[in-house]
Amino acid sequence: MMILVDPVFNPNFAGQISSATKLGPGITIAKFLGAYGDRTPFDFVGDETTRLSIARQLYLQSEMMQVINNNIELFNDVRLIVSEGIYRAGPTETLSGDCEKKNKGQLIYYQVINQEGTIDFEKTFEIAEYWKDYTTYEKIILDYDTYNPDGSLTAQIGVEMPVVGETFDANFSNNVETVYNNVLQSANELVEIKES
Amino acid sequence: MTTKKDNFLQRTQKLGTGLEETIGIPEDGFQDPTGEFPKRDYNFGSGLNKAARGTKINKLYTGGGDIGVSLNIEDQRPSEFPFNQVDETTSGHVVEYDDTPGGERILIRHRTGAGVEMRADGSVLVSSTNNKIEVTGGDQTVIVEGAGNLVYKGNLNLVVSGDYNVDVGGNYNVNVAGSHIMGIRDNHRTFVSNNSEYVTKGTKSTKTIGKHSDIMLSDNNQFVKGTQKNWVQGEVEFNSEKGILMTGKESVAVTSKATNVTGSEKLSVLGTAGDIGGKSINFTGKVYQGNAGPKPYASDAAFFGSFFGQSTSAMFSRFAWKAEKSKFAELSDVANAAFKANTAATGAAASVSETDIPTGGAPETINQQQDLAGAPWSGTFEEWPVPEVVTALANNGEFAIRDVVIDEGDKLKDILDLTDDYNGIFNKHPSTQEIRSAMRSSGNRSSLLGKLMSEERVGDKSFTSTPPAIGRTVGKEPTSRFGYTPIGNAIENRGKRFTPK
Repeated sequence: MMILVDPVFNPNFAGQISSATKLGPGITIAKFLGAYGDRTPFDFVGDETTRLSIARQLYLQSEMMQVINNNIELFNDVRLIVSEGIYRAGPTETLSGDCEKKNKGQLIYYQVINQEGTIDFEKTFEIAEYWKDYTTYEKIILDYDTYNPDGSLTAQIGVEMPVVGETFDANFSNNVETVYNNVLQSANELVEIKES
Repeated sequence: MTTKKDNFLQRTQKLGTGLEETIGIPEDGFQDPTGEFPKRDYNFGSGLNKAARGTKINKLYTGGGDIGVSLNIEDQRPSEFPFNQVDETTSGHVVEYDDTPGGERILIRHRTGAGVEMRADGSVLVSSTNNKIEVTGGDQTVIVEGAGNLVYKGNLNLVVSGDYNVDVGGNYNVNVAGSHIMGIRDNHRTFVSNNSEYVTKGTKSTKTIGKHSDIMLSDNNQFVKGTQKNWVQGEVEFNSEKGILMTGKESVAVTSKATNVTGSEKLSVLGTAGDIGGKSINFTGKVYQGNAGPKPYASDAAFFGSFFGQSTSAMFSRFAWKAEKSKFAELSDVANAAFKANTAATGAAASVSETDIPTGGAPETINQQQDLAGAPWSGTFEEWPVPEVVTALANNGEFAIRDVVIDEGDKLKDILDLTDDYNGIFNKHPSTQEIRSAMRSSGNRSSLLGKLMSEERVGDKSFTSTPPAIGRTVGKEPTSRFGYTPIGNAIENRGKRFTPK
């Protein structure tokens, strides 16, 4: 399946890729660098080829964001924020698993924030479901964990996109899964997990 | 005259009256000539705007807040008829003047959700679904009595043509994930009224083209765990009003073309072994002694060369080789070896011929030792530098060699750089979200999650794999839960509505 890219925001035509490179209306690469879980300067990506590759992956993510942000009918009261963007390995960390995908921009995690500035669990599930029904993707991960020191529940949505090249031609598997504390709960379902 | 009503009967018979009443020229003047009204969600109901009746609240686009940033928007009270005057256009633009008691507000809303709302509590909400541009021809003043939050998800460029003055009553905290680069064309001054601390985990480099001055009005300490090198192309001065102490556990070397060591009151150059002197070095001193100290005949010293001066104690030597220039041998009882002595004050005149000098100089074997003058020396030694004394001075006392240990066991380094503590994944204490991000790798989880739990940086249920409760579940295949958007209609005209939970 070949993605028809908005020529205004096509990274292939953007020239030099930087954090200011626009991927959509109001969406720049900086949005995926300043995630509060992975605050990463783009400087660590040295060569232009890798930057362009990351930009192409993030373009797909920006399309996913727009699907939600532009839907003021259903999601007017919540904000989709990037909670885990481009991952930068630790000083001596060897990249593997999902961290490696995050490092390449293939996998981005989002949180759904309500007007009180906290995670909206109900809307998190609904956005995951909406994405599942209306978009194409490699995998959507409805992710819950209790990593907070107080043991409270946290929810985020991971969106994994297939690797796209210069032509934006890719195969989308459209898989979904639910994860709790990084342990798989369901491979073909989105399951809403609650604290009680 | 022919009008559009000429074939009215024919068309109503063919197409029905319903369609005829929604297209073309209305029959009674109460229908919308454009065919847009009434909208689909007004079918089978009152044509009075729902917002006017209070069954619908027109809202601006707000989205949610951000992590830790609340919008603090209170729920809007539904309007009551007939207090709300609503103008809604074909495409969905809305202007409301709401006089509902307790819910008075003014709303100007674009069909996209952008607009301005003056709410009942006096709040003003300005919303833009795309770009927002403000242009002020003159000055602009912003006064906020409360707190504020600014969140930019992209880059922020601030250009100030004049001065940029920031006056902070509390703390000024800057947290930068990347680099902090400052370019200053003129001067840079920082005044700190209290303490200042600078921690650099990597390499620190300071370059100064002009003169560099560090002025400390109190103590100055430098602790270097590695090697310290000072390379100075010009001159170096160390001046102290008190003492300067330099110790090297292995060695200290001072080398120069001209080296001066001066002790105006006292000078000690001590060592258990080594050399002092050179080809053209002159010695001036009070006492010369062997390494055993001032012990007559047992000082273990050797002297080669000419001796000018007066010996208070003359040890007998069978041959006084090259003593020919000794003018007086006053205390010598027997001067028979004083070759060519002009005067022998207490002894007989020398009569030995020059040919009696043994070949090769004086014999190495001393045949006889004799103290010819009683007490060898009347002075006193405070502390003679025999090897035991020198060793003691090097190990104890104010001049002893110091033990230098910087950050023993790398404790300070480990406090500052936590790379080893966190297996190379973090080099500082991670936030919960940073932990969450790193735990996407199974390797990171297995190596670090236990430690993070013991440090209480993650919850004690982080290893739990069974969720406490489960709510809704949907399968992989698409559903019609969210309905669909009919082509060519505004979103309000959707045939299917969101299914309530």
